[in-house]
Amino acid sequence: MSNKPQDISAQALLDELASRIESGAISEAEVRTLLEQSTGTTSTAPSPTGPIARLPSLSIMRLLYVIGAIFITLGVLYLVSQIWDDLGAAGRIFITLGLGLIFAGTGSYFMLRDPARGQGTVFHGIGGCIIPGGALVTLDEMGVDFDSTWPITVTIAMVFVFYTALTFVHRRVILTFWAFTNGTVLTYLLMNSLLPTASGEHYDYLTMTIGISYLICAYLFRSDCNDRLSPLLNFFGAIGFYGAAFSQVPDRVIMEMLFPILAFGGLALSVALLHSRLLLVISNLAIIAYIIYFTAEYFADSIGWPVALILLGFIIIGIGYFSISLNRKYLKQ
Amino acid sequence: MDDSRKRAILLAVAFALPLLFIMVIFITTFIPATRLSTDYDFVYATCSKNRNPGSYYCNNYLQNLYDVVDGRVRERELSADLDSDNDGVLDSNENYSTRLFLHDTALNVSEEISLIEAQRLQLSDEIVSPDGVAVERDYSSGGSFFPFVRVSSRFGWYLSRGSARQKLEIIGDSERNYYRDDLMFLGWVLDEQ
Repeated sequence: MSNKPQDISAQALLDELASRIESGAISEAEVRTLLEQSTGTTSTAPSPTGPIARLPSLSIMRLLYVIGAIFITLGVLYLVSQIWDDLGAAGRIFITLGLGLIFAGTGSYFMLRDPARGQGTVFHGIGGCIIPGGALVTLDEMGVDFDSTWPITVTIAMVFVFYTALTFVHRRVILTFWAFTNGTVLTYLLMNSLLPTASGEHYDYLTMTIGISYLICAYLFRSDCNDRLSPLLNFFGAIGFYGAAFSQVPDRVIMEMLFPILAFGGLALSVALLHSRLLLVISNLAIIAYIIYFTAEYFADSIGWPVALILLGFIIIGIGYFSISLNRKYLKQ
Repeated sequence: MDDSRKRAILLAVAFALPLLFIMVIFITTFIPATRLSTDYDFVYATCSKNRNPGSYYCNNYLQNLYDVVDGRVRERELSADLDSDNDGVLDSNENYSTRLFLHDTALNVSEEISLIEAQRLQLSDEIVSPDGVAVERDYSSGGSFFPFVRVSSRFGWYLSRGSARQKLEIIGDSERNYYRDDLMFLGWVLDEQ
């Protein structure tokens, strides 16, 4: 007796599952949990969100999509640069914003028609690269006065709203990515427009705040259709937060005292809540950077650089060992 | 509270945090800035070389040309072999052109005045006015760190008291860019005679 009907049914089921995962209706984390439950191997270790564990399976087809998208983008940019001076205002707007919108429209068409395949993502990937620039070209061609950054802020706000709306419609990672990118740029522009006299220090604190927002979103996205965005948000969130905080350390006594608490806090957070190897690594780098700064600032002159370097070496080895232990105990599957 | 509601609240917090931060900074800096005022006007000199505003080292020429003695602007006689910017070209051959301005701080507008008119004014050449407001030049390239582009750069002259700042509409500011060497603050007007 043939078991062919059963095979077809299984294949259809798998196709449906792939389609649902692609469209974001079901997250990879949910499938993983289901598999663990069905095999009875409920892991005590938290689900990994580190860069190695979370690398998406990059099939040859997807790789070709990405290479094709890069070629198309480069080709479009090259072509545009060649004919730019010969184009009128309408031509410039069409070849930038118009083309971007065509790519976005095509992407949405593919996402609705065939959610399981990745063409929609590729077209939206290219569209997202072109649309913000195209919107600014349109602004320029309209003869808008750029004395203040308000026109640019409003334009990027419109692009942000556009991608946020698309995210709600399609629920795809690429659209969330563009919404985040434009939203982040919008935040800086808003600061610049509202507060033209804001100092570098203000921007540092804003960057820290955005870093916290990224980390919260990375935590929330772990179990939904944006789960592949989590490592990226963890990376930029942590880099932004610690980078901006560290650039304040030499100038602010309060930040000099607060920074180690923040760095160790990140370490604890990476293990206890976010389960992110990336955050663990970046927190460790922050601690090491602080120790080097602190030694150079307060001890190098008294104990001398040779001794300071030896001590630093031992401390860094100790931190490395501690970090590896934490990784093995809490983050490694 | 169910998970989806908790999640929605957290997401709202994540998005609101940067906006909240901007609003706090806006309120704490914008309101003091709007209240920043002084009862005193001030006098400044500008210099251009070959009709080119924003000239490097033009300020050296201004420093040599003008000073304030006993509260009065004085124009010095310059030596014929003086080379203020040390570029090997004598000042007499540099085509320097200087102007004097009286800045009305209440209206934030400048009015050109002659040397004689300037000399009628009793000046305090201190950088801080008697009511505690300073004239400062500022240039900043914005955020000092982040993988994203630096979105802010600011330059120009400001009235300042503490952290509160108010941009001054100084003549030639749009051409001046981040160069400052074509402007010299001469003093606050204490009295007119």
